[in-house]
Amino acid sequence: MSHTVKIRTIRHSLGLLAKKIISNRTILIVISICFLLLLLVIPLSSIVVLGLSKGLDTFLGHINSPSTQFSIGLTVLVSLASVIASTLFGVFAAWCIVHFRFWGRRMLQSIIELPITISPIIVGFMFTLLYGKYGYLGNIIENTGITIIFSWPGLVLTNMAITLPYVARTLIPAMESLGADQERTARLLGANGVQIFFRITLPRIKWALLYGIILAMARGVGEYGAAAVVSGLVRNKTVTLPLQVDIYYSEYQSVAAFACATLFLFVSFITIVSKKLIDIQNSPAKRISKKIVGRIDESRITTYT
Amino acid sequence: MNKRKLFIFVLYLITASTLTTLWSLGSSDSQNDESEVQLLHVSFDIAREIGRRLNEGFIPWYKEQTGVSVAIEQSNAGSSRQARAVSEGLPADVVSMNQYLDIDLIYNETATKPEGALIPRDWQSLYPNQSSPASSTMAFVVRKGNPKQIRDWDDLIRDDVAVIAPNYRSTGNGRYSLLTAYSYGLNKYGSSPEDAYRFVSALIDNTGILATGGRDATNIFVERGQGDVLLTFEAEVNLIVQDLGPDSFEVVVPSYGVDAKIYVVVVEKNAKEKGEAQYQAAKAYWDFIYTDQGQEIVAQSFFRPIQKDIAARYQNALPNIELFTVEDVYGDWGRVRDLLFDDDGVVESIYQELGKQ
Amino acid sequence: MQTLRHTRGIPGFSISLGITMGWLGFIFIIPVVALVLRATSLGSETLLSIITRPAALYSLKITMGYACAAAICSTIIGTCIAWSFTRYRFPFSRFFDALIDLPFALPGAVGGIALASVFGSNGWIGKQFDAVGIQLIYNQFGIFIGLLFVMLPFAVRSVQALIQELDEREIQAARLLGASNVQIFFRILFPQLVPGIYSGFITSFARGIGEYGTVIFVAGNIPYQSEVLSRYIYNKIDQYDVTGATVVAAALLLISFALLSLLNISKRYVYGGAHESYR
Repeated sequence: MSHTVKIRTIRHSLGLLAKKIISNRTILIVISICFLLLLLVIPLSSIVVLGLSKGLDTFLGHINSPSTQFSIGLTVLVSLASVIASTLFGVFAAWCIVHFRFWGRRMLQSIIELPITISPIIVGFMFTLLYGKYGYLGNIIENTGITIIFSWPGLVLTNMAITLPYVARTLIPAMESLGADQERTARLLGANGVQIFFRITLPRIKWALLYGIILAMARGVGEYGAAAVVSGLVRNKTVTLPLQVDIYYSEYQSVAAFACATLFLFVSFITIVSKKLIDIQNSPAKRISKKIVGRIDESRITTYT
Repeated sequence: MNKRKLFIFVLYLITASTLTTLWSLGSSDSQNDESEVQLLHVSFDIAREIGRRLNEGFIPWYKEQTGVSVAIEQSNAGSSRQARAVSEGLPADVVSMNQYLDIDLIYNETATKPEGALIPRDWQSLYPNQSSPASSTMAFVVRKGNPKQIRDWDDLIRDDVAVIAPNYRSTGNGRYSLLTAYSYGLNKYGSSPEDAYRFVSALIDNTGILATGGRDATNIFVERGQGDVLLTFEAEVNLIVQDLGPDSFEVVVPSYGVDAKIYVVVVEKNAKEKGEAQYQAAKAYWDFIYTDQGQEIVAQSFFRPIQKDIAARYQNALPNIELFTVEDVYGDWGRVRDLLFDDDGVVESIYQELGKQ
Repeated sequence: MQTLRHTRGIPGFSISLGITMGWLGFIFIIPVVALVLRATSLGSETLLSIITRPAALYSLKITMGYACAAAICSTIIGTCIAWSFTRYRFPFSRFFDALIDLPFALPGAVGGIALASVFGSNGWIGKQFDAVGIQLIYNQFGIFIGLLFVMLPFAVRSVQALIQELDEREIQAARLLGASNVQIFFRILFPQLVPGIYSGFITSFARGIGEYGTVIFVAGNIPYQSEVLSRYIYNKIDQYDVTGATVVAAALLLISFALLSLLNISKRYVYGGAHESYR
């Protein structure tokens, strides 16, 4: 074997190696991971690192402090209430948008999506104008002895407005892809509306529904802008966890702030795990078997969009 | 079938328990633990610590005087935002603000309402010294060793200095800084508005970050390490150096400053609605701040007390400097607002000019 | 969905529409109407003078500009991320995939503080850039970073659903017929992904217009420079100018609604009818 041939072979194999390394796959993966590292992993791990920087005991101490505990409880209650509301709303909205054609249907769809766009500040501001003490309806409500703004009903209302779209948005595409044949058949066989929904529709959309509920919950727990406007920031009365983080931060207790912030990572973790569970329920194998029996294509659960 | 029932049952349970808990949460205010009276103190952003100290002093003092036990809640955020919240129904009993305009807003916004104003029109006459038990002024925090040699207002407009301050138009803290700078400009260059304008313009040009409030500004300066000098209340400046690092920061009190009066008021309508005991306690809360003990707490929190002898004892932290009052120089706060902070005021036109460059 | 056109048999129209409209009205439409009423009660001249104030227009410009730029950027990177995590398996791929949802669930303040603590000039990343004299946040680029963070999950997830459904056989067939990778991407894959990419862009953009929490912690918030419209509105309230805040808020609301409707309508043309059911 001559010298030049040897070099050529080496060069060739090196080229192959290089080609393999610099394949589309590698480039894409490297870009994606770098981006996520920069924008997500490093900033979010800094929360955990700073939260734990004074040791685990201090960390737990901050989380166990009465005002943090209260804000956790309030946050859970507020977001539960609004999730229940947006679930009921989402089911009814999806039912009428998917199954019926009526004037203004597309408009209704756009309006349902609007809270995603509107700045939470404006949402809070709107509610103050309407339900505040001197608002259009505030006076009437005040006479019944209920205060809305600067009290927990205000937090619940703004939270409801902000989580409003999520269940409807996941249900509508899922129900559209299912069609209405089975519902109609059930109707022909004499089932009433409630029966149709619980026996036919619900079992088929349950994963999409659950998905929407998780999204609404995740969004509701983290609401900050609107809550800041209507809360009044009275500790142990109207401070939710996101506001508590802000208050700690403003009191130079950044370790406490980051400790509370870590709780949100925990919430997100729950979101992720439940999402994975849903994905498993929708694994390709299952999906195919469902297609064969003519059931559904639940992969059309379109997350936020 | 069974599964479905269980599912509905669980759903029902969650709904019911959420609603009942929320309901009990809403109605539990009145029957809270053993304290007979619960006050809500609504105040500005950097008054968190002085508020807490006042509570610690007031509760035993009031108990001793009247036998009534009081619990006090605090709500702190930007001064103007808090004033608006009170006028829109935040059930505050006692209010302290760092600006005359903010308390006046509570009266103005509610005076024309059918239920009547929240506070009396002559609120300034209800407590001594025009209802102002304490004051502060504007001061600087610089990094240890003062590497940029910042000593006075002139140094802030040097090209190599980066200033951090709360928003000059929307926060009380920022407004005082800007007002002092403008007055300094007037004072130094022989009351020519053009020179004062130029001075303020240079200061604004050097301010690369406008924080949302006093505390946000401190966090940006301290935690994020931005800027060479932080412009904020003297009370805050001392607290930063004391709490966040005597090894990393230094206080600079400039030669010239504003007499930034802290005003206090009892929100009579709210307090009276909750009962006579509530109203008496609220009134006593501000009486307390005028006592020797209260004034001592004021000084310990690095605000300037109005009692001269107590102020004298805290000379080290609160040095004597040339102070001007808004009333002396500009007549009243309304004029200051029109001149500097309105939509056609000095600050807006400076930003407009700088934006065009 | 052809079958849906004749659905007379299904009950519950009036009750479901009634509840939908009733709840939507109570929780959303009435407050919006109250806001618009309050704003329009001023008379057109005052209204116009408030909206056309240079500071408001400038804030509108940078809000829209950066929302659009960040939405484009996040859809490009989002597609790239969605592709790598859906089509390839590598160590930690599931972990990274799961992380994408985080910005959605985090409160604005938490996201903002986290970004500021890393990109600030004394943060882990900001320090490196500061050494060469580049400031990453507290300027317009800060707005961009904050928006990218917020938009990421929206951009990724909307494309991901479509990538999952791509048919491997089409790609192989094209390859057998001699198509290059570039050809395969632009002729076969890209057209199928367009609906997802487009709706990812719309949602990101929509989300970006209203963002407050995350952005204010990383922008310098200087008027005529880095003050977004949400911040402008908030400042108006603190400057004793509720009327101004109301008018600008109502204007922003109408603009986002018009934009959203326009984009929703344009979807039909972008998808060419093939993906009507995918919204």
